[in-house]
Amino acid sequence: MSKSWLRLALIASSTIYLAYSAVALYNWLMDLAGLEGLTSILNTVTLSGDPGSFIALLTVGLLFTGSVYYVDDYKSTSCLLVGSAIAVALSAINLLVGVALTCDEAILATLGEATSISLASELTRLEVLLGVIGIPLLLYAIRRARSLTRLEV
Amino acid sequence: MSAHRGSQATRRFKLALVGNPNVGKSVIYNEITGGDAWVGNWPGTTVEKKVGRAVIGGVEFEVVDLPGIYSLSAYTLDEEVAVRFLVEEKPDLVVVILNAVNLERSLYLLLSVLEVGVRVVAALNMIDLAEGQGYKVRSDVLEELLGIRVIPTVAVKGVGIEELRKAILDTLSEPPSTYKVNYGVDVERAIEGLASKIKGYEPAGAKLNVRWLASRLLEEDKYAVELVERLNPELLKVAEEHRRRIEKTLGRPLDEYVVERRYEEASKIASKALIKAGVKKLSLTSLIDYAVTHKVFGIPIMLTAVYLMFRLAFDVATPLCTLVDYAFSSYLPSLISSLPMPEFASSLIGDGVVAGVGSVLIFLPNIALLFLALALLEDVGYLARAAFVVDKVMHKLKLTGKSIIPLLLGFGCNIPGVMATRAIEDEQDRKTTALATPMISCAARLPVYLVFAGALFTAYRGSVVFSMYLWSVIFAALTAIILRKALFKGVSTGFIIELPPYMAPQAKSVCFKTWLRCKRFLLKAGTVIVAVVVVVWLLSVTGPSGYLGVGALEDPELIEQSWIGVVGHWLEPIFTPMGWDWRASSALLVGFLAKEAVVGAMGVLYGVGEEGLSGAIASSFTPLTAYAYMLFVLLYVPCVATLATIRGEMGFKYALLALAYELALAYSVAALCVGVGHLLGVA
Ligand SMILES: Nc1nc2c(ncn2[C@@H]2O[C@H](COP(=O)(O)OP(=O)(O)O)[C@@H](O)[C@H]2O)c(=O)[nH]1
Ligand SMILES: [Mg+2]
Repeated sequence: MSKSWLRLALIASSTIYLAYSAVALYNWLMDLAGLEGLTSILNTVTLSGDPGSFIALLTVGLLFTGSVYYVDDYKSTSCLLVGSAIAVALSAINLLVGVALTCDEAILATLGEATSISLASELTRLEVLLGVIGIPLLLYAIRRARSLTRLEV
Repeated sequence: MSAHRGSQATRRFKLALVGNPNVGKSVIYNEITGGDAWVGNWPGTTVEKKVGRAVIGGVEFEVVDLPGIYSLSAYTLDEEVAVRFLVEEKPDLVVVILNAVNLERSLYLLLSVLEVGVRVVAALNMIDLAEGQGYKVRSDVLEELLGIRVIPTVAVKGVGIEELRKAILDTLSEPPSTYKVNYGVDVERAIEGLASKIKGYEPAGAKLNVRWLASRLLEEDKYAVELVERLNPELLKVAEEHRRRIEKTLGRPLDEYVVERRYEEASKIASKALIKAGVKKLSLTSLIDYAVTHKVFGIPIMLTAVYLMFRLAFDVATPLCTLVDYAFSSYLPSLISSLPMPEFASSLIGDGVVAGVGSVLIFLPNIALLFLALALLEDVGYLARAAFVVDKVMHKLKLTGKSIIPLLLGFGCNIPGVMATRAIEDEQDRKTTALATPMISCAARLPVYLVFAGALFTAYRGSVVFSMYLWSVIFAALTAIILRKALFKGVSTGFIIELPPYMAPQAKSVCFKTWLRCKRFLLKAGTVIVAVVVVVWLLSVTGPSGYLGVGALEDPELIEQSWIGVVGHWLEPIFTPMGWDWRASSALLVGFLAKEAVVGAMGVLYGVGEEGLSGAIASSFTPLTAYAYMLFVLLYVPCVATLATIRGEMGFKYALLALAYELALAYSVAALCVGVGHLLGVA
């Protein structure tokens, strides 16, 4: 990956995460007010709306911004490494929750306490998709971290 | 010869483990004793000395895991515990655990222990990490310079443990260490003079190491002064004279000089034993820490970690909760009612025992996952960072950095939290933290929140539970400020928590810790809670008029005549402002024994199962009165076990103070919550 491509990707990612965190905050506030927020994109991708998601998304956004902002290789790698790791973890947790909740529905149906099984909305959350994009960033960050912390004999 | 061997076989030797915080002492303790000491990747996890038993080569040992310390200067409570043990209990052998990554500081402690004049074996631990950083430590050089056995180990992988066992056995039959740090002619002369004076007052058979005592006395070490004062107060004056004379020649305080000399010696030895295989410009730990401890990113990262932990604990556990729920609220009850049994027995088992166990077990999946996440974060080394990051904020609340550790532990259970306050040097800080810790919402309170939030705040369930944790932090902070202002005045000591290196978590350690904590929760559930639920069941089917029959459990009018109903009614007027009925009041009484018991008790009081409890709560509380009730449960009293711990750590007076303060606070907060709610027009 060339430097300028990477910068572009990082600027785009940080913008997306920061914007999404603002949406999550907005959704949460609307929810508290008992109003409808922006809960999905085209009825397919679900959007979060709770304080926890807001903070997690904001954190990732800030760290990606940091990785562009800092010129120093070690500072920017640190931000990129931690930021992409959190992005991937966020995605993984949502996937896990989605799978768990779907299993729950299946169990309820088996016990005869529910009639139909539907996929949990967590599986289609935007965090999940964004986390997939985060994987190459994480791999790249790990490679850079390796070279920065190499033992020189 | 045979007589000697016979006495060896029957005698139990005392073995002490000493080391800096976080060197892997507890891991080695567990390896040697097969015990279950808490292993955590952060300083200050061994807050009390722990005693276990070990048999090495047929010889029996009593093994004591002392708290982690940096020196033997009796400056902190931990150090005092350690030095007292070494001098008064006279262990037969001390294993000093060295950190290969921080050799100099480890050697400083080792020298201090050698000076006491005990048998010492050193374990050179964490050699894997040192090698990763491009160091090699030559244990043979250390052995030669120090005159003791030094065994390289990687405790977490069990490397070197067998050799360590053998070294312990071999050293046992040798004379104690006579290693002396050379403090220079003037100081040595003073030490000798003072030592011979002390010798004259030494009670017969006391076997004091007078040289050590003399040198500590010159340093004005708190513990040495106390010890010598008991022998003869005159000695203190003699020591004072010597000190003044030396300080004049040195032109500086003696204690400062002695510490410096010992450090010089430690670093001289370290430099001889260390070989650098290469240079590492940057460690992975410091690379990661740039972002993690960053002044802007640090706190958001910490909050994110907490959020991820909670998602894992509460959402991922859902299917498991469903299964437990099915077992205890449908499957087992129908099984029991189908068995041929008298009505009384069938109700006791079905409505008392099974319902009680079930209403606690249903939260086991949540709690187990929370503990799993906590153990992971602890072992990776992140909890120490979380503490470091919040440190700055906590300083504004007049608390020391170290207060964070007990408070964070308090989220799991308040008891280890209160116990961990022992690692805080300053007495005022320690007491403040110990009394603020019960405000932290422990895992036992969670079941209560979950039931209430689930019953009345379906859509906002998560937010409502989250808000309880926020309140808990706010009240802990307020309590700390109030106590600092009113009761424990004085400047708070600044303290920067030292950060351990990041480590890959060990599956064994993480699972073991999760299991230990769950076991504790289950034992509580299995004994206290079930007992409480059964007692509540009994009190519900009997009353001032005698046995009411099991019908009382389903008949609200009948249960009102039971003991529970009667006491609940006595209490009801007190809680009328909050709009809670007598059942809610009775359940609070039960919750004093253990907070998670509130849920089980309510199940019995409303005469419904787990499934029905939500409905019962939804119909007898409004969201406002339920929220006030949750706040009350958060604050009203620490459980009996926590109170007992506070009593043990600080005395009866403080336990009473905690009880009174929290009752008053909880009542005012709940009343305020309902009052404000009404003013705002919330039903
Ligand atoms: N890499 C490595 N880690 C170790 C070793 N020994 C202990 N640890 C880790 O160091 C941390 C502190 O261990 P613990 O026994 O709690 O230290 P204590 O505070 O001295 O009791 C834990 O995370 C252990 O898993 C070792 O030899 N190598
Ligand atoms: Mg320990």
